[in-house]
Amino acid sequence: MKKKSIVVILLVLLAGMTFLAAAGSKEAIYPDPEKNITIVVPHSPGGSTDLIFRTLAEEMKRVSGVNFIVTNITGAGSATGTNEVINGKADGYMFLGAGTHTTAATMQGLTKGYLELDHVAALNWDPFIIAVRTDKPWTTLKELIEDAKSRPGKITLGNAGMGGATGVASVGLNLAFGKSFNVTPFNGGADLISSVLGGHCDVGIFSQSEVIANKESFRPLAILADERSSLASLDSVPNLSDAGYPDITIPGGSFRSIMVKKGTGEAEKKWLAETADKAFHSENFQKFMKNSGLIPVFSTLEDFAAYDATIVADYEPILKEAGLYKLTK
Amino acid sequence: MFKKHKPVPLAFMIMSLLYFFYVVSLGSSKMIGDELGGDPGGMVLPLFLSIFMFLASTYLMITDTRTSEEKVEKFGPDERRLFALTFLMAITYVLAMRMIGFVLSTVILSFSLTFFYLRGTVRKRDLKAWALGSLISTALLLALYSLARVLTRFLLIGGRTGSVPPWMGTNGFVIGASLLLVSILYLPVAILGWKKVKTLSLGSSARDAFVSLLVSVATTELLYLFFRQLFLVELVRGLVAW
Amino acid sequence: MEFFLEGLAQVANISTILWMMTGSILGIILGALPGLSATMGIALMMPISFQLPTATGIGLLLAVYCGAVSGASIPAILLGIPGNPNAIATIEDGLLMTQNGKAGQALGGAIVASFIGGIGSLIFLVLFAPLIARLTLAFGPAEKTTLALVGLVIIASVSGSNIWKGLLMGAFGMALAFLGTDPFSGQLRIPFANQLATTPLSKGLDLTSTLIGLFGISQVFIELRKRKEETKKIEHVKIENIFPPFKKLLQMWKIILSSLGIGTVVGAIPGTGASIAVFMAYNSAKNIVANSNGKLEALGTGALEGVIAPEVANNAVTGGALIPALALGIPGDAATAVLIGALMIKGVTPGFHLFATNMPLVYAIFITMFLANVFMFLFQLMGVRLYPKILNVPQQILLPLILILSFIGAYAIAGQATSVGIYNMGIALGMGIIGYALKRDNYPIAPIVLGLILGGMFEENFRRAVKLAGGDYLVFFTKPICLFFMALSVLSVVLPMYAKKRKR
Repeated sequence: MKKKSIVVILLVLLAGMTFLAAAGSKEAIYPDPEKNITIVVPHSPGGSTDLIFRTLAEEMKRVSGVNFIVTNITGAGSATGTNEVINGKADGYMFLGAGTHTTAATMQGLTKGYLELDHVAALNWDPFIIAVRTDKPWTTLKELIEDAKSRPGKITLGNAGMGGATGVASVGLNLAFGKSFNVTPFNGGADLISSVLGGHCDVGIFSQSEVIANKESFRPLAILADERSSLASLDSVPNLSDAGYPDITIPGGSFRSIMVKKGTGEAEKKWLAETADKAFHSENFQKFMKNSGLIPVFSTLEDFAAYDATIVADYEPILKEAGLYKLTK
Repeated sequence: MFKKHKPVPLAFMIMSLLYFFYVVSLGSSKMIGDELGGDPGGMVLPLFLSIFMFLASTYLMITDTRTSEEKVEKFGPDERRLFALTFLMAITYVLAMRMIGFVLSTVILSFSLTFFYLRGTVRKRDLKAWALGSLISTALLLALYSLARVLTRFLLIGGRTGSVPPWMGTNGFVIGASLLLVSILYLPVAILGWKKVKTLSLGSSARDAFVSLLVSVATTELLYLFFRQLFLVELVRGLVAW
Repeated sequence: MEFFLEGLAQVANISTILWMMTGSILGIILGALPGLSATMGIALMMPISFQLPTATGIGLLLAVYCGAVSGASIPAILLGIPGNPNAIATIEDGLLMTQNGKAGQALGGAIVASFIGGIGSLIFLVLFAPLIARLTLAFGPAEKTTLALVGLVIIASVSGSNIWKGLLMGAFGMALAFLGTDPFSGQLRIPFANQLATTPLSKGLDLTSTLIGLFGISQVFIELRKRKEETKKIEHVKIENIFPPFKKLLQMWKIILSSLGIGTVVGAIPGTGASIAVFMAYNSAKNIVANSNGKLEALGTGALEGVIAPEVANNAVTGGALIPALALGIPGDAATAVLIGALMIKGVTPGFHLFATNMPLVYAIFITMFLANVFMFLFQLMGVRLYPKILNVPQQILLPLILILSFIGAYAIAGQATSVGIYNMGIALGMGIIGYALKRDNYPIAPIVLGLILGGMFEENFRRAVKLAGGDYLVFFTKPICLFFMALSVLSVVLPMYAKKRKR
């Protein structure tokens, strides 16, 4: 009998608790103070994309007080991580560290990519630089190209993953110069850097920020942007037209942005965009971008959608020509 | 047939054959942008593996037979029941977790396994004690959990809106406070209950049920506090939606 | 010297010490809970480190890192569940020691070994960072392929009585590693690809869940089966004599040094990591014991040597992984990648530049690394008398705990994604059943794990190496490092066979 009375007391207590708790959690707030917001970075840790989003996550955490957690999900260029976001819930608690790699992976048919994602904010532009190790014989881009043409397939040109933006740039470059390079994908920027430094791969396409970190060991041959670098230490690097190839245009850089799954509420997107805005303009993030040679191109929501359309237009012809375009709408 | 031969090599023979056909049917995929060639393709290694595994398992099928000292001991009837119980409950746990949530499924799994392991077998006459025990554990756990949740939300939201000092809204403080609250509520129940069970001399099944109750409630609540609140793992809520 | 003092000044303050102590304790707890990794701990502490001065912040992160790596050995030794993949090689002898009533000694040995590994690799880091960083660059795709091959063959040859069993299991592990998505073409390589394309299976099997299943859950089933006849209770765990006698450690100097070297160098090679290092160290210890004329205990029989070797190695990885991180800006593993991120946020770019311009900070990092190891040692020491008490809990209560902890560990790896977490629990259960069947028939488990860890690395680098060579498969026979590793793997297959024949 005693036991039964204990049970009854417990059950009554329980019902009370349930009521209290239910009453307490009625107002749905975004972001819930207990939930974490996950940032999926589709590249391996340590590369430039990863570092940018880690830094941004810290600033977003600081300005909002919400927990932002970075997870690296690599594979198939950047498609595996992108699919993770697409397969998740559209509740605003997960967003993709997106950018040119997303555009490239989508067009290659590796993921539904930007067709299933919504724009939140664009962050920065990072121009690509073609570089070799300092003890290699080529001192200018012209010398390198001549050499590659004289013995096709012998000179290896590495990129940080075929699905990513360096992949598209390397394919574009190879097309422009008669497919004379052996284009090889590596597992992210860090892997590519150590392979070029170790002499396992002859030429690499790097982000400007990656070249700066190793500028003693790399000889930059050309910057793939319209203008020369904004950084004092790299402003002597010629752009393609100064290097003697004014007719060639290659999407020579990567930009990073934030995207969420289609169907995420407007309020959530707005909150994320505002938080990203604050984090982006914080002193720390600005300093970080300046140090690593990232060019700020901040825009949110609709503005960004228009900007993104120009990137998409740049990519299509190259991938189509290379036979990699497999997007089915 | 498994008296002398072992089932494992046979399973591997079948598996490697299936794998071989699967790999062949999949075909070789080339690296993207491999215009000049050079990529060995995605089929080489899996094909090699499947052939190697088939050969190795065939060899082992023939040579690796049971020696006299290696005989598989027979299950006792009690062990067989416990084994089956564990197996079934583990599968149910994985399948039902999403629907009924971490808290409920874990406390029931923990209580049931501990209870039947303590009893040493699964018997019909223990079922009543089991059912009652599961119910009470669940109720006790839900009470503790809900109180801790109310406190947690109050502090976290209060810390942000300013109704309590901000330091009280930090994660570290909230965990400490929840842990304290839960212990204050749990310990008297445990001590008083233990005394009651002892004095009432309810027989061994009630005592085992009580021990299982204490263990399962403490395990579940502590796992929740550590994994969810300290290390921010998003545990499924399920039926316990608050 | 001047730089050293400047560095010391950056860390010699009470706030650094306190933060590092907190980090150390938290790291040990985190390491001991299955499924929670050092990387995750560092990421969790980032926001706090961010508010602190650079050196203090980095010190906090390093304390978490060192604590987590050493904490993982606690559940491995006591319960046979690896806290994280770093501790897999510790299980075999550690668990046996526990079952022989020597849990205290195993834990004590692991702590001492962790300390030696951490400090030893720090010395390497201080003295040779730029040099070793250069050395690791010699490891390109071809070299990494052969390194993976050596790891696979060695583990197949040392585990269990029959090399074919080991090789079969290794191949099985590799086949499991190939599940998921082709790394170069994005093609799905899973059965029923159309139906399962959007499930977590498209990312392949999760390593830690698989480990937890193969080791933790399978053990529960094994114990259940033999519950009755083996009711021998583990004798009251003696907690005197925790430390291995100094003399014994001296006898093991070869094991310690080789594990230290292996841990540091493997840790420094980007894209490898502790899980390879521990098995290589374990194997090298096995060889050293074989040539010691019976002075040392044979591994695999519950020998302290079998705990010391992998524990020295996995803590040596911490120092090793920092070498390319600081000297080249290339992380040696995921945890150091997060550390680099923390430095970058502070406006410090790792690389030669750092050594050229900011030596005081470099020294400050070295000093905090030293402190991180000291705190790890102290806190582990305080706990070591406490942990074995868990074994006094009757098995009827302990077994459900192991099962639940295994499940939650597998779930927790996914962190935020509920569906992935539940899928991981399913993997752990499935692997638990497979592991049970294999253990019952005396098939070794460790090669599966190695195959799973190295399979992806092997395939990726194999294809990349052949591609870089323009389709020439002979590339693996043209480089000295490759030749060395190839020879090593052939020897480790042939020698045991030859030795067995001679015995007969």
